[in-house]
Amino acid sequence: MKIWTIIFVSFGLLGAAPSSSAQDVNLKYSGKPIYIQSEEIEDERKKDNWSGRLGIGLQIAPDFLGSSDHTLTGALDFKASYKDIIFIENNKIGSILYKKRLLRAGIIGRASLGRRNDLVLADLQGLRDVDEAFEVGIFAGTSLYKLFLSAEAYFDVSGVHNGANVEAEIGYTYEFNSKFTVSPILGAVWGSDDYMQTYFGVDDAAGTSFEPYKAGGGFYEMYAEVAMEHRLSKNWLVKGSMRFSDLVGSAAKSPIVRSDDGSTDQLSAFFAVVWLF
Amino acid sequence: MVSMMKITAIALALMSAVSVGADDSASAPDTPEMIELRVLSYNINGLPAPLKKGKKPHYARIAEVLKERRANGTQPHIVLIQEAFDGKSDIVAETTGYKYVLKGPGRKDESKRGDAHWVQKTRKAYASFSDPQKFMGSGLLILSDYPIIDARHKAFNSDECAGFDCMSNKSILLARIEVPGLGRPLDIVNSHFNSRRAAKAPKKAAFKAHSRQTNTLKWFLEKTHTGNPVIVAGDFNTKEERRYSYFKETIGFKDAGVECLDAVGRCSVGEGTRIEELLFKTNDKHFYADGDDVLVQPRRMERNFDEMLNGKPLSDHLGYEVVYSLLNE
Repeated sequence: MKIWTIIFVSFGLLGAAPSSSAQDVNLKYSGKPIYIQSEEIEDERKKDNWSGRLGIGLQIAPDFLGSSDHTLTGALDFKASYKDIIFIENNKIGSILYKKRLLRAGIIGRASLGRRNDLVLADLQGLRDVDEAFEVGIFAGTSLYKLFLSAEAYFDVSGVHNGANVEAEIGYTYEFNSKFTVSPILGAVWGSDDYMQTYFGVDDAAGTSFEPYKAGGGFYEMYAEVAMEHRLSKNWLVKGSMRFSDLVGSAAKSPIVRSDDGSTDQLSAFFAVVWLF
Repeated sequence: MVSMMKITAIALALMSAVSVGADDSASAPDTPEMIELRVLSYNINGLPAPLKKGKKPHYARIAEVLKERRANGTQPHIVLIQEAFDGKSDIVAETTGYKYVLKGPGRKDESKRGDAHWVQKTRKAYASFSDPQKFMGSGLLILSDYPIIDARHKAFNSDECAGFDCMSNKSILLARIEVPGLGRPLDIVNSHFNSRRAAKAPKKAAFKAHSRQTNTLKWFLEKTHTGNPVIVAGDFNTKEERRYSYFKETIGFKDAGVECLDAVGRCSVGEGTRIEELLFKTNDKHFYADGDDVLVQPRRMERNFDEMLNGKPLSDHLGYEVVYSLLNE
């Protein structure tokens, strides 16, 4: 700082300042203020085009929808998303076509596991196989702070059940600390007549131990799930989830579900170590 | 013996003091000139209903105080307001005689990057809502007696917030102000940083968000740097020591409170103002940096707006007013 400046500042502050505020301000201004628009400064932070996760773990799930037997298997958890528009997530593929503050919606497709006799051994012998189905549909998701809701509607395009299926769920994320989150989730699943008949009906009782049964459309599954994440580092986490489902409506009355090999109580769980990319 | 240089300096300083403000359209003076500038920063706690109700009389009283001060010629020349979320608080900006008003970003002027800290990485792909969900604007206002010749803002990205604070579009707001007599414009920056306990977020997440906001402010200041003197004031939520240390170190500006109290005899503190409320027992702060050819000095500071209305304080914050001296080199 120049010596002159120091002198000016010192003397100005000590002696001259009290009289120095007489600036030309329009004290009588009484109109509405003039509103000024500001311009945004954008930062150059880039977002990766690709993001996703790859998890390896274990899962336990019913052998088929309505089964009382559960099997423990190794499982993968995979998601890849391109520009937050196109995603592949386990058995689903979709595209987010509408993105707003409170709503995301788009198209979605999924491959659904079927029910084959070689998988369930002789328990359901005589019932027709149900192949893996490919379904397409729409989804919508909304979120309000830590509360989230989503719904997916699917229509069969593979000729397996020729019906429709709708899933809806609501959840809330609790943060116990900056690394550990727990989300309790409640959900319900609805199936059309054709869908229900394929998975819970008995068309031809010949050769089976089941009575013929016509399953009607409606809500058939209510579930409660707890999903947990524990962050290990920026790119690693462990996740766990446990879902208890109760089969209701015509699904609960199905002879398949009511048989010794079936149950209205369905338990599934998943645990994995996940790498985020 | 008094040297000739000192005599000249005194004479020039006195002359400049008398001549300041004679003509606000005057171009930069040839001689050093002292300009007094009163800057108030005030978080008016203007949360909208149903979060807060019955605040209208409080806003009206704040406006009244500013009007009374204007009538006495002692009004702050520049007022930086935080938490003006409630539409009813517009009375402060619209009836107090300030000719120029700069509003901070609204709810829709949001940045669009980053996941909020609570986003579950393993939920459904489309349900993670990485875009910010703002329900309120920035709540920032800058009122000025002097022309605002340029204005810039930056809304914090959505991974730069924690907890409930993520619901508002917290931002940095800059007004470039043409102060009469000052050789170059003055940059005034207003901001409101992430709260600590009130955010109801995990401590680590809240600290991380605050640190990121500090980094963004540093980036913003570098981006808008033109050699103008800069005053950065607002509710920085820096009462926590580690937050303050990181903020101060990163920004590199002088803390007006510290500088004033160090400048014994050259800076005074208002009656009733407690020293700790200028320093660390406050989230409201003033920081400043000299311009290339303008020196900034705090000359007087006070915490004001401490009156009660119907048994309640006007806000949950006090006003923080600093009288600066600006000197053209």
